[in-house]
Formats: sequence, structure tokens, C-alpha cells
Amino acid sequence: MRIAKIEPMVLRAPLGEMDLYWGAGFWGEKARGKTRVPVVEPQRAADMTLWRYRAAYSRHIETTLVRITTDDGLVGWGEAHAPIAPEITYTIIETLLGPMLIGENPLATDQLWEKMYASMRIRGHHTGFMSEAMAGVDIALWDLAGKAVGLPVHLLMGGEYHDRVRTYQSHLPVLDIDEMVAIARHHSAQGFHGIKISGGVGAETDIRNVERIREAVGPQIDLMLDAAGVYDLPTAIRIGRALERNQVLWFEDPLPPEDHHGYAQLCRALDVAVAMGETETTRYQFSARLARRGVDVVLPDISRAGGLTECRKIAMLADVANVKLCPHNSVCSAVHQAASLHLCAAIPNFLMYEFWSGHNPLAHIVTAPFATTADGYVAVPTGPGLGIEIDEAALEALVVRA
Amino acid sequence: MRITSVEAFALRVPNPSTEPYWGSQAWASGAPGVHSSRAPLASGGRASDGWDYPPRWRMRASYSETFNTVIVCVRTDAGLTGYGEAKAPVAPEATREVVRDLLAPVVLGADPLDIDVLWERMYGTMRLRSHQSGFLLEAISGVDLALWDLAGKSLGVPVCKLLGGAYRERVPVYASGLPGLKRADDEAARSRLQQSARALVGAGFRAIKLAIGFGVDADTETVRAAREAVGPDVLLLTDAAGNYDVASAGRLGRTLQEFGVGWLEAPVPPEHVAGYAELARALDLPIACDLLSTRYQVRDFLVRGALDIVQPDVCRSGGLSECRRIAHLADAFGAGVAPHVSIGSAIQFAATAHYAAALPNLVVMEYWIGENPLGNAVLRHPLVLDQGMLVVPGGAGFGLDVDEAALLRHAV
Repeated sequence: MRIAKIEPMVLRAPLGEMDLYWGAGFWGEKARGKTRVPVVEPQRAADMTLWRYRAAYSRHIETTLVRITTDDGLVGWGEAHAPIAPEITYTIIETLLGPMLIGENPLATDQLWEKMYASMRIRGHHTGFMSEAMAGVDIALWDLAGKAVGLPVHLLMGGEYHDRVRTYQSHLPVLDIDEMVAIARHHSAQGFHGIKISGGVGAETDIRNVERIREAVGPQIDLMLDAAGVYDLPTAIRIGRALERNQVLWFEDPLPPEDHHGYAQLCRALDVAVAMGETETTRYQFSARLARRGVDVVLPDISRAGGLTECRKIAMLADVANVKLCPHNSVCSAVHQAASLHLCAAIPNFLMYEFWSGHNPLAHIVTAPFATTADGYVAVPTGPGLGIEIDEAALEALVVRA
Repeated sequence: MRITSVEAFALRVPNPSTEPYWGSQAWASGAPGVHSSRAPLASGGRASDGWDYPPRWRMRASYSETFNTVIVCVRTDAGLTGYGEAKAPVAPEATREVVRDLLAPVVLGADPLDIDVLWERMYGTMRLRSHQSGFLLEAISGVDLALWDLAGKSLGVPVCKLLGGAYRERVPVYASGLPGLKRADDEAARSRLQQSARALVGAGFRAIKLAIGFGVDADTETVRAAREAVGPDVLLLTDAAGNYDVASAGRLGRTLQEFGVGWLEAPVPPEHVAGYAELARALDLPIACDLLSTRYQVRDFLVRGALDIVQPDVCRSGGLSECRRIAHLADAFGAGVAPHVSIGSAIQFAATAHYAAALPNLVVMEYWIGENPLGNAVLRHPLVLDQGMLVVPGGAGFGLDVDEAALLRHAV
């Protein structure tokens, strides 16, 4: 069996009822084209630099998918996380990765990963677009491998620790606090085991939001706070103390990702778990953080951190350090969701599965979109490969470049 | 003054020479000139292929048959154009799209003199999404260089003055480079290497870099042959492109020291900071690494004492803005700067010359010796290399008179 075709495709959907990409209102740049970005509600001196961490957001919901076809007609699907400018990963796959894999045996997932990584390794491309593009190809190879042997991906990866995964809900944007409380109550009633609160808009606001939401949903459900990497160490410690008082499960991205030393100090200072990982890609990056105990829960994104091949290694390294893993999913297609589910099923140190319930047409490109049960679980697919069936009409409606 | 347009051009330029790029001669798999990544794994992916450890195919880069790069043109309402360049040896279309889809919207309408502010905003776009190196940083580099060129042009001063002043008007460069011997016993190859080295010295170069990484024995023979050919006064530098593990790099390094080699570049894979630290402690020979982007990556090496020489690339590591910060950071740790160039257009050469001129801790700048189709061929007044020294262009901005039509002729 040989790889015959590698086809990237750009999917783009309108924002629907949202007037902005969900994170754009609080984590995004507001002043497009203006040089001096206004600080977002600076309440304390510590908030004065929040603007440095404002990300670019798309005006659409978009991603890059990869379809790989073998010479005997099998088809595998993968996804490269591309919440903005998916044409870039499309081009990397079309121009660089595709040509180097044509004719290879798709079952050689590990070797092919090394081959792709080597192609730009001595040019320092260990993160970002390159890693995302590789993840898309890698996931498609695993889907193919599973289909070739008639087994679900998690059985190829070592077995089924879980046949369903415990979920938490991550769609809780920064809004007026009364609105946030209402959304949190709704999620709680839906059976989710945890709710992640968007933060990073100023220490006082973050602390107040967590307190009010904990008060509203009661002590049973897990809460997390995502600070989007904006704080400095003393501010993060102050917020962390408040999270401890409110029985918060983890404090996500409290510091800028480059502050490795700060992460290690924060982990020592706080009882609440420090979680991070969507800003990291390879096992090398994760192992450096784990070795200095700079993270308590790792959150790699399977469509960014090199796909199933690399994330399985990251999970193993985390387990060696007695650290648990929850894959970052956020807004993604059903292909990414499926790959994440298989990883979770196949590792001993899985903690919780992220489910984002906002308006997301990308989740509906399969004949049976993933949904949570009334008690807050998602079933791990059991069919061959990723165990999903693409709904060609739904896909066709979103493809803008193929 | 406001930025009115940001354009990026992906260039694929036919190689004017019969020789493939030196890096691809040395470090690509497959026959010279063959797109390395097309070589199937079967030719080098199996442990049974030999006794080599670490397996060299894990470090085999993809090379293109054409010379590729991305040129960025930023224009203002004052009628000025700044030229920048983003390193893009393969898939330049991807880098072009990063500029077009992601960075241009950030920069359009801004005052081009707000260079540092714009850098932070460009980096911020994808910071939380892991983009700390690679295509994003290369694209940012391209825009950043264009802003520096614009700043100099709008103020009527050379960029090196804006960077803090010229420590020198001519920058020492090393010839980059000569592919090393792949087998210790190949006499014909040995005498070709010696001839090439002598020719470079004859052309005025006082420093030469050798591409090694083919085993301790072959590499030792490469350096022995080169030293024999050029005598004791020429600076010999070595680049192993991450091909060794710590033990063999240490053994090689001790031999290189005996031949007076000036540095050992990328002895082990770039992810292995601890390996660099161990080598830097164990060897007298300076340890260098050309594979790092941003001040943060460089800091992680410097705090561990893992580098003696940093090698930022103005078209890859985040532009002049970031390379300046890297140089200052390195200086605080007592490390020198040897700006990486490898291959690039005249814009990269000029921008790097301005950078090198403004550094208190400059070691030496890389100078590609191949036939450059985007070198003086795209300038109305040539860059001047004189006795192994690159003259820093003296006009406003990068001091280049660019023939834009010639530069963009091979845009795809």
C-alpha cells in the first residue's frame, strides 16, 4: 500500500449568530490598523501590559483538513489546527509535505513523522505552522492505518483505557458577569463535569468572575480558569490563591508561554494545578517543562502538536512525570475531535475532554456529530481508523479551496 | 506618515550555476540536485543501513532545486518604499501568505516608525498558538526589515545609525562555505577541497566555513586538509548541522581544537539544550548555534551557559528588531554574535551588514560564495566586498538602489 494523493482543503464557515469570533472580544486585538492598542480595562498597574498578548482572530470559523488516498483506494482524514489564515497550512501541505510523502507506505507513521520534521529541523521550524501542517498529515495517516487493518486508532495505539470520556465545557466567554453566571448554570444543567471560565482580562475581574460562578453552580462541578498567558508571576500567584479558595481544578496559561522560569516558580508557589500546553508543540518542548516541574497538567492540541504520533509521546513523557493530559480542542472540526478522543482512550494519564459547544459548523461535517450524554460523557468511536464518516454534502458546503 | 500597502512576493529563481547550493551538497539526502525530500525513506530510514549513530536521515533537510525567497515591499503615503526579505528556502508561497493574510492587516495604516510596537503586535497575533519560530517568525522578519529600511529612508540616515551607530564601516565576513569530505580516504575529493580553499584565500577571504557532520574521521580529515591548504592564519569554522550526539561531538571538538578551528556550529540537534551546555563546558572551542529564533529561545541556551556565539538570521529570527535584542542579550552573557545569512538576496546581505556594523560583540558575518542571482544583479550600485570585508552601504535605509523589476522578475 502506497500513498497516492495528499489533498489539503480550506474550510470556512460564517460566524453565524456570533458577531465576533468567540475569543476575539476579550483575547483579540480590537484596534485594527491602530498602532497604539488600548489597554483592556486596566484596573491595576499589573494590567497595563495585557495588550501585548492580544491575538489575531478570524472573521470566520475556519480550519485546514487533509485527505490522503492510497493506491488501493483507502482514504484517511486529518486536520491541521488553523483558526486563522488556513491558506498558510494548506500551502505548506501542498508544496512541502505532500510531495515528500507520495509513494511512501502510510503505515510508517513514526518514520514519516521524522521525515517531515527533518525537512525543516535545521531551519528551526519546531512550532507553529509547520507543526500544525504535520499534525494534519499525521492524523490522516493514523486514520488510514486503522482502516487498513480494520481497527480503531486507539487500539493501534495501545488499547482502550476508556470507552467514553468525561467532558468539560469550555464555551464560557468573558461577558457581563450575570450573563456568564447564566451560561455556567446552563452548562452545569447539561451534565458537564467541568466548566472552563475565560479570563485574562484583569486580576480583579477574573477573581470576581470565578467567585460568582462558583457560588452559582455549587461545589460539585469542576471549574477552571483560562488566563490566555497574560499575567506576570506576582499577579498569577494572587489570582491562584483566589482559585484555591474557590476549589478550582486548574489555572490555565497563567503566564506568557516564554516565561519557563516563572512557570516553575508558580507551580511551586500554588496548590491549584497549573495547566498549559496549547502554546507548545513537540515532545522536546514538553519535556523541558516537565523536567523542571513547570506544569501540573499538560494540554497539547492534537492538530497543532504534531498529531497523534507526537501527542502520544508527549502523553508518555507527562506520565513519567506523574502529570495528566487533557487535549486542547477549542473550536475545531469533527476530525480533530475524533483524533483527540482516540488519544484520550489510549493513554493511562487522561484527565478530561474539552468540549466547546458554541456555534461550530466544522463539528457537523460527519454523519454522526459528537455529542455529550446527559451525564456528561462522549463515547469513543469504535469504527476503523478515526471511526468517523464524512458527510460529503456538509463538507462540500464549507470547502473554499481544495 | 502611514503605511498604505504591504506586498509579499514569493521568488523561485533558477540556479544560475551548475553547482547545487552548498548546504544541499552537504546535508541533503540523495544525489546532488535531487529534491532531497523526494528521496524515499527506504534509502536512508532503516537502522540496518549502517552503524551510524545518530542516524543522519533524521537531520536531512528539504532543499529546493530553485533559489527561493520572499521579498516584502512596504509603501507609505509619503511615496517611500521599504524592502524586506523573509527566509524561505522551500515553500516560499506559505511565507508570502503569512505576510498577506496575517501580518499585513496589522501593519496597514500604522506609522512605519512604530517598529517595535508593530513587532510586538505581529508576534502577539499567534503567540498563544505556539508560533514561536518558523514560518511566522520568518514572515515577521520580512516585514520588520522593510520597516527599518523605510525608517532610514524617511529620516535620511543609514539603518546602522538608527541601530545605535556604526562600530565599523566594513564588516569582516567568512566564506560560506565548502562541503566537507564524506569519506576520509577520497584523495580526489581531498585535493578539490584544498583547491577550493586556496582559491577563496586568493580571492581575499580570511575566514572559511566547512560543512561537516559526516563522521568524526571524515570531518577530521576535512579540517586537516583545509588547514594544510590555507596555512595557520586563515580562520576555519565548522558547521555540523546537528548531526552528532554529545559524545561524538565532544570527541570531534577536541580534534578540531588542535587544528585551531574558530567554532563548532550546531554540533547536536537544536532541541538538545543540555547537550550544548555540556559541550560548551567540556570544550575550549566556541560552541555556536544557527537554529534559534527569538530572544526567548536564545535566552534558554544562554542561561545554561550553552552557547559562546549566537547566530541570529535577520530574515528568520524575527528581523533586525529581534536580532538586536538577541545581540544585547548575548552580550550580557559574554557571548559574541556571528550573523547567519546562508543564502539570500542583496537585501539580506545589506540588512545584515548594517546589523553587524552596529554590534559591539560582532564576531564575523556569514557571506555566501555561490553565484547569487539576486545579489548585485538586482542593484543599480553594487555591494562591495573588499579583501574579506563587506562595505556597509552608506545611503539612507539599507543604502540600496534596488532595481525592483529585476528583483521581482521571478515572482510566482
